[in-house]
Amino acid sequence: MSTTFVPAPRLVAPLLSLLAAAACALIIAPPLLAGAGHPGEAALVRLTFAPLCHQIPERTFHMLGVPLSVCARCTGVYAGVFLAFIAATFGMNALVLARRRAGAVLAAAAAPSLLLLILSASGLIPDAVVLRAVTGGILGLGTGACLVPAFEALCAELALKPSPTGG
Amino acid sequence: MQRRGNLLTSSLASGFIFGFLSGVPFVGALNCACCSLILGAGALTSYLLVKGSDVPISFGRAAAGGLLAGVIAVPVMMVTWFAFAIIMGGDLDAEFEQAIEQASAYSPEAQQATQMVRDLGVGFIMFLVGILCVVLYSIFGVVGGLLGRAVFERRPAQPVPVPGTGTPPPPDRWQGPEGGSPPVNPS
Repeated sequence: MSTTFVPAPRLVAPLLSLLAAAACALIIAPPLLAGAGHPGEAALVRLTFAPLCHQIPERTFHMLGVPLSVCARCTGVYAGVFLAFIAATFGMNALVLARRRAGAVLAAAAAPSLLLLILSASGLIPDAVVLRAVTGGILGLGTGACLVPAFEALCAELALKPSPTGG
Repeated sequence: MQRRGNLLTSSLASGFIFGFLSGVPFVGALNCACCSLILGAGALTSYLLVKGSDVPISFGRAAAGGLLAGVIAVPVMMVTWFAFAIIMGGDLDAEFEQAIEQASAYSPEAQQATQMVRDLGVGFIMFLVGILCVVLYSIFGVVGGLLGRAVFERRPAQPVPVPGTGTPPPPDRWQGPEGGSPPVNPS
């Protein structure tokens, strides 16, 4: 007896991939909208992401002279999450590690970002936008890898709950 | 009777703590890193549920707790932000203008477009921002709750009956080998 709409666990990764693709599309939307003659809409899309990111132009990738919706690190994170969801869609076995050792996977994924933060703050390495994106991408890959089995388990639990009417 | 972890208490505590932190100047800037404080609220909720439960918590419970913590964090954050703004003597209108300018600095057309936003006023904009934050913080709270459940819950998941077998789940949703009693939380 299942709830009204709960995706089967095997559909979770594809659905998450679609959501992540939509988020990535919104990230690159401002330059495309501005280039198509819709600067107002481009500005509104960027404002929507304002609670999620500092959006500092010097730390943001630009396309067609217009900054993306989020900074380079956040762009990397969202791209990494998207790639992890895509990998899960095609059943890559690396996700088995994320199921069993989520804490270790997240810690390993966050380590490059933390390392870059420390090294760049101390001036040992330049604070390059590309490095921020790459380390953010690694963090996103690890996070996405842990999220897929979590959402699959959530959908499996919801699918087994009895309906309110008892039918 | 087995403890199941108080969902409301865990969510309230996490929501208040991280909502307050989100409203504190400089500390709240951590939310600019993909809502990391709200992810923390969800994760803390899961941690409190795990510690307060004698049986493994489900992903659904963790997700619900994270969602609740995210929603609770929004009004706490806004009240904290206003309080600090008053204490520190900040000019809310000036900060509002600065935020608008930063968001539209790259294009004169965008600046014209955001004039509409200015015309709506600070109060109405804050209301809209609050609605947006509720949506975003709910999502990130759920994500944080799920990640927290994956990290902090080390006990084996409860076996669930296979659908279609006609076997109803036991009242406490746990049945160990040969119907024994559920394990006690070793912590």
